[in-house]
Amino acid sequence: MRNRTDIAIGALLVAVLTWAVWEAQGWPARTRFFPLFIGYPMLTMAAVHLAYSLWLGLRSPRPEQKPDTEPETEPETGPPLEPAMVRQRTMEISAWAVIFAVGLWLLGFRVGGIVIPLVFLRFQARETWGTSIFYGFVVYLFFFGGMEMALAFPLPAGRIAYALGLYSFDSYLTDPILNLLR
Amino acid sequence: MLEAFFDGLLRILDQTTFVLMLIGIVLGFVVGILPGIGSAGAVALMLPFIFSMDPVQAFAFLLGMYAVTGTTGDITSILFGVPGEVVSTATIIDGHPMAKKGEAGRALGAALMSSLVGAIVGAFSLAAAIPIVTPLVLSFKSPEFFSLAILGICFLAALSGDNRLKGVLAGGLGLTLSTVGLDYQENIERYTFGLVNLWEGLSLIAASVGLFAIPEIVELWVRGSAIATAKVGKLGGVLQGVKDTFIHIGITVRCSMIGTFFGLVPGVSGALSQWVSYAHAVQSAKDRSGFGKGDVRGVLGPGAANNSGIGAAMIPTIAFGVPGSATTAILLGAFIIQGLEPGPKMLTEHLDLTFSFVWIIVISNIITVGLCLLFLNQLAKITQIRGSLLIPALFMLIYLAGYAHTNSYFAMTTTLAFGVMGVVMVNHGWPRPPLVLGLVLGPLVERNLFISYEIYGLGFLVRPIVMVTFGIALVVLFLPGLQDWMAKRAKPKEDPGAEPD
Repeated sequence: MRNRTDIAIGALLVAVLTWAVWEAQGWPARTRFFPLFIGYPMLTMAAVHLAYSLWLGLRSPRPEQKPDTEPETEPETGPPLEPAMVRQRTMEISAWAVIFAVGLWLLGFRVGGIVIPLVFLRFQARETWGTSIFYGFVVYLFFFGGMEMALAFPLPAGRIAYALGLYSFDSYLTDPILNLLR
Repeated sequence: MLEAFFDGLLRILDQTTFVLMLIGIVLGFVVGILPGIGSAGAVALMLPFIFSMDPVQAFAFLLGMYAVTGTTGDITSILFGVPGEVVSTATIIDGHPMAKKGEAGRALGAALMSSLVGAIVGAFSLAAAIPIVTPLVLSFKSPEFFSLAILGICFLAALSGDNRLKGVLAGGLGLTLSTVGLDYQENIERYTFGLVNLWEGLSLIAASVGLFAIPEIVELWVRGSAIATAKVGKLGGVLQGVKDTFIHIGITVRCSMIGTFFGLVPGVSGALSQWVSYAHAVQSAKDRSGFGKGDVRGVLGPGAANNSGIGAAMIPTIAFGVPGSATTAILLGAFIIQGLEPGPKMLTEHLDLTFSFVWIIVISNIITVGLCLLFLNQLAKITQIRGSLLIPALFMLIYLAGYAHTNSYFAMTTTLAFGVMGVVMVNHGWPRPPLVLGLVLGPLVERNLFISYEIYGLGFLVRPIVMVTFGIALVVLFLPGLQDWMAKRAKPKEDPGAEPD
C-alpha cells in the first residue's frame, strides 16, 4: 500500500517537474536560467526515485518497508488507533479544513468566526450549546477587538455580504460601539 | 561591538517590544506545554502578526515564543510521560519516574533551572561567536552564499531518515515552487497560470502555515482525546530541584556545552543533543544505578541541552542563512518578511538586532522559569484542555495567517493546498523542513547563482570554499548511506549469535 502511494507520488512529481522544465524552455534566457538549473537535476532525481519505488514494487508484491522518520514529528503516544478510524478521522478533519476555508470566504472572519466554530463544536465535536456559543463569541471578540480595533487590521465581510450589497453583516451592531469609542 | 551588545538590551527593554516579548512568551508557554503543537507550526502561525512590527519587536515576539517552548515542554514530559516538544523526549526517562515516586516538583524545578542555565550558555555562545564569525562571513561572495544555501537544504534533507533522496527532492521542490511569480529580472510570468494573485509568488506564510499547522490539526483530531488524560496532583519539592541544578552544576554546564555544539551544526536535531547529554550524564556519574528509575541528574542533562541549542542554532541562521531546523527555517522566513537578509549585514549594519536575539533568549527564559516556578500547579492543568476545543481556534488562525499576508482570500487556497501537501508528506515519510527552506531560500539562491554565473562563469563552482561546501553537502547526504551499505556487507561475516552492542 505504502509502495503504491510512493509510486503515485513519484509519478506525480515526475509529471509536475517535466511540465515545469517544458514550460521554462520557452522563456528568455535569464528567466529560465534558475528554473532549468533546478529543474533538470530535480527531474532526474524524481525519475530515479520513481524507478526505485517501481523496482521495490516489482521485487515484492507487499514489501515490508521501514517507515521513514520525520525529525520534527511527535513521538507516538497513547494506545495505537485502528487504521480505519485514523482514515475516517483524517477525512472528517480534512472536510472541516475545507468547510472553514469556504465558510470564511462566504461569511467573512467576524461572522464566520462565530458560525463555523459553533457548528464544528456543536455538531462534530459534540460540545454543549453553551460552550459552542461562548467559544464563537470569544472568536468574534478576537477578530473584532483584537484584529480590527487593536491592530487596525480590516477584515472583509465575505462574499455573501458583498453579493447582498452590504458593507458587513454586523456593522449595525459594531458601528455604534466604534462611534462610542471614538 | 560592546556598544551594540548593550544597544541590543536597550532595544528589548523598550515598552512595546517588551510587551510583545511577553505575549510571545505566553504563547510559547502554551505551545510548549501542549503536546501536539510544535514550535515550528506555532511560529509559522504567528508570522502574519509581525507585519506591523519593527524587526526587534518581531523577533522579540517570535524568538521569545520559540525560546521557551523547550523549557515548558519538559513539564508534560515529567508529569505525564508525554513530551510537549520533540526536544523534551529524553527528559521522560528520569523525569517521569521521579513524578511517579512523588518527586514531580523536584524534577520540574531541576528541569526548569537547568533549562535556564542552558539558555544562558547558548545565548552567550551566540554573542561570543559574532566576533569570530564576522570576518569569515564578510569574506564570502555570491558563490559562497549560493553554495551555503544548497548546503543548508542538504543538511535538512539529511535528516529525512532512511530516504535522503526524498529530502533532497522536497528541498528541490521548494526551490522550484519559489520560482512561481514574476521573474524579478525580466518581469515575465513563471508558472502563474495567468493568475494575477500569483504574480508576487506563493505566500511564504500561507505555505508554511499550511505545511506545518494543518497536519498538526489532523493529528490532534485523529488522536481524539484530551491532551493529557492523567490527573495532576499537588507539586512539591520544587526548590530542591533548583538546588540540585547547582549541586550538579558540572553536569548542567557540560550538557549545556553539548547542546550548544549540536545547535551550531545545522541539521542536527535538538532531540539528538538531548540524548547525547543524557548519555553524558549517565557516563559521567559514579553511581549509575538510579538512572532510568528517577535520578535527578538524568533530568538536568537533557534539560540544559535542549535550551542551549536555541541560541547556538541562531549562529548559522543569522551568519550564513543556513537554518538547522524547521523552526529556524521559518524564522528565516521572518527575516525575509522584515526585509532583512541573513549574512554580512546582520553582523555589521544590524549588529544591535543580532545582539538583541541574545537578550531575548536570556530574558524570555528567565521570565519563563520564574513564571513556571510560581504557577506550576495551575500550568499543569492546561494540559487537560480537550483537543477538539483547540481545533477551531487553530483553523481560524491558519486562515487568518494566510489572508493577512496578502489581504486576499487566494492565499487561503495556498494554505489549504500546502496543508494537503503537508498531510501527504507526513503520512508518507516526506520531510517538510527542506521544502519550506527551499521556498524561503529560493529567491536568494537564484540571485546569488545568477550573480555568480554573470561574474565568474562556471568558474564559481571551483572556488575553494564552494568546493569545500559542496564536498560537505555530499558527505552529509551520502556518508550515512555508505555506512549502512558497508555495515550490511560486513554483517554476514559477524557471529550471528553475538549480542548487539
